[in-house]
Amino acid sequence: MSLLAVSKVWKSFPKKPVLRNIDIEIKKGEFATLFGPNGCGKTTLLNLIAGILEPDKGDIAIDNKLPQEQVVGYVFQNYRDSLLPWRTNLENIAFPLELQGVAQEERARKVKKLVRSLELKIPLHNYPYQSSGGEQQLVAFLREIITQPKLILMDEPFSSLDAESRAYLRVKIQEISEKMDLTILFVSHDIDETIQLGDTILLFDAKKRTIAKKLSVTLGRPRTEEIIYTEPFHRMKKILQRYEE
Amino acid sequence: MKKFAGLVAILIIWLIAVQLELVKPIFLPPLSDVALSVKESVLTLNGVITIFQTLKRTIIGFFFGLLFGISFGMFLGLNKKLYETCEWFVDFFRSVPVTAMFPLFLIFFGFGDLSKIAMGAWASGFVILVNTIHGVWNVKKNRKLMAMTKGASRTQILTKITLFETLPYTFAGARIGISWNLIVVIVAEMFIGTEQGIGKQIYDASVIFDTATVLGMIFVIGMIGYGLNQMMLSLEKRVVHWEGNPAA
Ligand SMILES: Nc1ncnc2c1ncn2[C@@H]1O[C@H](COP(=O)(O)OP(=O)(O)OP(=O)(O)O)[C@@H](O)[C@H]1O
Ligand SMILES: [Mg+2]
Repeated sequence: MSLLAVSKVWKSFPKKPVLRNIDIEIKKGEFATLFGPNGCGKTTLLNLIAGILEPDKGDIAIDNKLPQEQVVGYVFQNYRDSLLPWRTNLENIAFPLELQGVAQEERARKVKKLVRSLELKIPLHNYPYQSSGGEQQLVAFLREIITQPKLILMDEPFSSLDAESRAYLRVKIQEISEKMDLTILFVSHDIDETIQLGDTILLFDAKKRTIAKKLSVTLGRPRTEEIIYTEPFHRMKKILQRYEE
Repeated sequence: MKKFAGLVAILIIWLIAVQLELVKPIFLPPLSDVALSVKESVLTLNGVITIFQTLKRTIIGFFFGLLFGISFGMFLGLNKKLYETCEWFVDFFRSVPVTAMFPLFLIFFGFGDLSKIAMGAWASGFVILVNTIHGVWNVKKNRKLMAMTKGASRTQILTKITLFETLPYTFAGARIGISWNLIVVIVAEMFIGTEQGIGKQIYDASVIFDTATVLGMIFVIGMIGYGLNQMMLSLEKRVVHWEGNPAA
């Protein structure tokens, strides 16, 4: 029984076909990465799953519900545009709880508990603009998981960070995902990142505008940057490079 | 110190010009006379009341300008269709100098304080209105989407996102608006007349060619305008603390 089921989904914009006959199945607890070159329609696909867009044809079900009926976590490509700069980091993370009417003290308690349980160092009472890019992206990520949604969508979340924060977050997110038993669909156009993070890899064929393959990654966890020097990594990389364009 | 070098130079030239009687006092009165008129206006009861009257009209007008600009600005910003139908109205009336509409204000609000306040409110209100509308339009799409994917209602999006995103624009409008407000009130005092007010005082002094008082009052107005602007700036910095920050 899959948590996310995308079947035979088509999507075009006026005069621009983008997605053709997309099929995706993701199980509960799975960390799936989706690899595709720039402009192939990755964000469009996530917007469909999040219920922001509607498919022209086909069905999407998240835990047997329509995307519009299901609240999902969605980490945007640009965290700066999605954080609320007039709120402290704590208030940003607590935002979804606030929308649900959770009282202020309870919100603060929940945020602090989450941060502590994940052993993170985040200046909770600072504003985003007083925090590093990595901290801001962590805040955006925590905001998406604080309500424990069934599915988390991530759209190239680390692409605008410096190398050091990126390396740290790539390890950290594996740890968090495992600890909280998250189901993640992580979009990337970076081959190394795709292999380092995924239990499974969905390969987007830009010419056919559809998902061409689903691969399983058998490497153990946690996977650090060092993983790129291993033989199985190399073999996977060769396969992905064919879809790089 | 460099900032004041120009000022010092002008003052020195002024002193020399007056000393050598290069210019008639009606064009350039002695600096000491101007200083005296400033002193009178700041240190005598009568002077302080004069300033207070002008400030009072400005601030009350500004308050109504804010009320008008923010509420209608939010409303028109959120209802794009409505805005399109009355865009001409907004553009037309903000293009007509309020000073040209003196007679209308007099008919509707009389010769007292009310018409001066209303004119000031009109002047500041339109600047704030237009800025607020643009603020509403400039809400980051991702922030709204983010809230929508979390099931936020329209009211929640309005009060928790749009309102805050609009604030920096509204503040920018308010800062320009309060300056306009002051100008309009003073001009109204000059030409409509009043018991007491800076505009009235300048007008009275100019009629008897008392250039020293005119210059002194211009200096006082400059200080008031500068003070109001600084006040708005520091308020803005505190309220919209995230703005102008590269990482925000
Ligand atoms: N609202 C829209 N209207 C018209 N065309 C659009 C719209 N959104 C996206 N597109 C087009 O659809 C295609 C896919 O866009 P999308 O943003 O999904 O790609 P992407 O894989 O996420 O790209 P990137 O790697 O740059 O993030 C692009 O060619 C884009 O120009
Ligand atoms: Mg994208």
